[in-house]
Amino acid sequence: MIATIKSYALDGLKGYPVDVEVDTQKGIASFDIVGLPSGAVKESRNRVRSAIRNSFFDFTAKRTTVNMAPADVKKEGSSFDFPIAVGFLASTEQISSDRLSEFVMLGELSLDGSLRKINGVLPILISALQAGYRKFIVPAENAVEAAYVEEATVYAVKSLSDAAAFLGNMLEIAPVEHKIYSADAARNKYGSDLKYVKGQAVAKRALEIAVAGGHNLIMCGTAGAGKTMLAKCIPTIMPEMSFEEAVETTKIHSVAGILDPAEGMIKTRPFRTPHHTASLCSLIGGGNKSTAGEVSLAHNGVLFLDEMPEYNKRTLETLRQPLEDGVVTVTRVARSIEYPARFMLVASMNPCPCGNYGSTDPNKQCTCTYNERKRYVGKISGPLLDRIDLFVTVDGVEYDELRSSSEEESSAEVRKRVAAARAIQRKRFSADGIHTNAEMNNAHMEKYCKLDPGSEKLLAAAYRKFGLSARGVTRILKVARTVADLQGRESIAASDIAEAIQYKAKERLLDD
Amino acid sequence: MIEAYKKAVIWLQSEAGFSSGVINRILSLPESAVIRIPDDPAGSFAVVKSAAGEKAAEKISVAAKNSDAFKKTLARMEIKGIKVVVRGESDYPEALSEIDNPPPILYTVGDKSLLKSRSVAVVGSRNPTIQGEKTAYAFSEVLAKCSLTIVSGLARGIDAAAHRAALDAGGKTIAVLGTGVDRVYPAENRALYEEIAKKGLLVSEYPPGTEAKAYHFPERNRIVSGLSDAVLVSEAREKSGALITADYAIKQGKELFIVPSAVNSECGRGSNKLLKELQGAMVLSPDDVIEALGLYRAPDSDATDMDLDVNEEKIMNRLQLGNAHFEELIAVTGLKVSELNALLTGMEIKGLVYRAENNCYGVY
Repeated sequence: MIATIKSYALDGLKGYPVDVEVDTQKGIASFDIVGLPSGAVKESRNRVRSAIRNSFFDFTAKRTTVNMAPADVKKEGSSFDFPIAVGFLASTEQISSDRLSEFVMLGELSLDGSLRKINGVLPILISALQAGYRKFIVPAENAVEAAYVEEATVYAVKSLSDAAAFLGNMLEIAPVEHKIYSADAARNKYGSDLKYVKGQAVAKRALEIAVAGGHNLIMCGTAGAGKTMLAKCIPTIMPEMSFEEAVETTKIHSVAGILDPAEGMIKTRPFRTPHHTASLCSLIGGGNKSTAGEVSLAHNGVLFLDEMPEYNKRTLETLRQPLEDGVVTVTRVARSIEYPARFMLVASMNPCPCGNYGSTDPNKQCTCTYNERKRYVGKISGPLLDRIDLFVTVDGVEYDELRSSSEEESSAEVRKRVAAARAIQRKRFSADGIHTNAEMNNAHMEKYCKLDPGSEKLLAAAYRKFGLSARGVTRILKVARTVADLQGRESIAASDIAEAIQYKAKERLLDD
Repeated sequence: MIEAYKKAVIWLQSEAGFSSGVINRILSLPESAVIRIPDDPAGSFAVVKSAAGEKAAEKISVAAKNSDAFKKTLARMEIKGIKVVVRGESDYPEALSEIDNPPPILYTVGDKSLLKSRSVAVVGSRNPTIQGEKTAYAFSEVLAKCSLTIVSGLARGIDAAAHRAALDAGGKTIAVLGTGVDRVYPAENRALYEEIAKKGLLVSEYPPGTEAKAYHFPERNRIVSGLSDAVLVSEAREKSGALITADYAIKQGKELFIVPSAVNSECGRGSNKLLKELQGAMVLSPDDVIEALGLYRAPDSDATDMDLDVNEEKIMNRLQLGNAHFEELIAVTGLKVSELNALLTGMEIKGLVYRAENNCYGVY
């Protein structure tokens, strides 16, 4: 007889239903899987056979055909093991098929019959709910992740035999209890805190402004000046993630298979630090499975590029489109997938290849020629620089005697101000479909960046003095908006503009 | 008559390909003899031989067969509006003709009268520190305001800063090029080149179209110094071209001024070493230069009536002692980071302070 099990598969971040049909007949023993299975799906026959036998069910050789509908879409992953096994048991009438149609089933099987965690449970559940499915059976390890989906009734099972007992009404399993999302306090992966960073007042303020307004930031400084140390403090001052943001980010991490099953949800903003040897696909996404890249894993968080000019130039250039649009579309022959990629770019760089240009230390004098420096910083193209709002010089200069008396501010205090500024932005942009000042377009700026005559005058003077471009002025205005938000000011004051100018991005990294 | 003479000199340079030394020897001949050379090279053999030796004379007779380069030079001058000043002409600056191996010919674009104005050469590193560049700018600005023409070499770094300062101050400037006067080298100084062509003077001893050669630049430096009444060096590395200019200044008997650099500065090592030998050359402010040249400083109208608030004054008082780091200025003023950021921007716009490397600030 034929048994049909509902399951789900993923195309990027969207799920689509897959019907797993299992038919067993008398005849020459065989086990065929049809319906465009990929490698992992074809291999599932071996796992299913062992799992069924080791769960003390009967796997007497029969002519078995498994069909996965729709038959024209390639099926990937190992999450069909469990539905195939249940389908086989129902088809051979070892379990009752009365309740099968109620559930969507997902899971990978271990040879001993236990269920293993699968990737992408959250996006599957969300898609399936929209399609009208309400009840799910998932591996126990995925229970926490599934618990955050409110309307779903999720049964987490440990093994095939438990599932069989449950479906046969011989075992009572309570649905997973729904969890209420609460953002974690900033996780301190590196044990960093701004209070341990001595001095660096200019750079710390730049971090605060950048995080408060979601502005892209570039830190330039000699080797050993403390750029990386500062960057590691960024997670400690990032504002909490809202539930919607957390879901967006968790979906991507879940599909990529890097979600911690015990956490079930990404509760702190991601801070991604790809190495400078990163390939184009690893950064943007792609490969034969069209997986999400670092830009998407950093969605709602920070992408930190340490030593930016060391990255492949072409790889860097591909950042332009996600920086502009907040999404990347990974297109391959078979399919095209859109991944969200709204991240804050933080980059650090040396001023020259030897790393000592501009150093005041007599033992660290730069030996690079003008052309070497030009080539080095030239790797960061003008269009890319256009998308970076803040520029700060980080120096390793220490003034111990001046500082010994003063207490450094802790990350928690900075974070409070950042959160307040973000709250103002959320309120202001509630109808505009954007989240932060950095995302403002011309229309938004017209509305929210009005200047009084004094500020106009200052900006005009700066325009002449510093030879600013129109784009440069736009960036200054955005940053000034954030500075005003940090002060809790309704409108931009001249002093906000003035401070923004101190961090003005460079049109060219070499001033001559 | 004078036109024919000019043409003859151009011919000697473009067509016969003589160096300035040989041309100078030929120019010691009577004017009429010089004019006759291009028309009758064979007939001039004896005269040229008597002035510049047999080799030169032979070269002239060979050159006569092919008159392409000469025509090209004239065509380029015509198209690009290039004028020439030759040695012996009244336009030719007297001071320049007194140096060793004076350029027999100067191709010019712009205001030729500047050749005879009082002038100071400002030279230095092509790869200066921000501080060095600002110093050069500040000195040049004040000197230009005192009606001194600023002479330099249109190189990047100090040279460009000096030209820029003179133009910004509404003063005059001369760029002495190591290429043909119609070429921009380095290319990034094109805007500066064009502005100098309009408001100042571009000079070169090389025929139009000549490309940059490494040996041109040291040669050119004798003109930079020769055209000027004084030479000011701000930041020269060891073996820097600016030191060659300084050397010429000493040989040519010009005033030499050197701005000291920090003791550990790589960029200023060459100029500091020279300063150690010539301690009298040290200048600490533009006023020192003005005083040494026997001029007086025009009162600066916009700086006198500037009102400073209390924090600005604290900052200015501190920066008069030397550059200071942002954190030090926090300690001096007691302001918050955001307040100091805003204040410093205002002071930058007013032209009171500038931003040096590593979040340090300085005064002009």
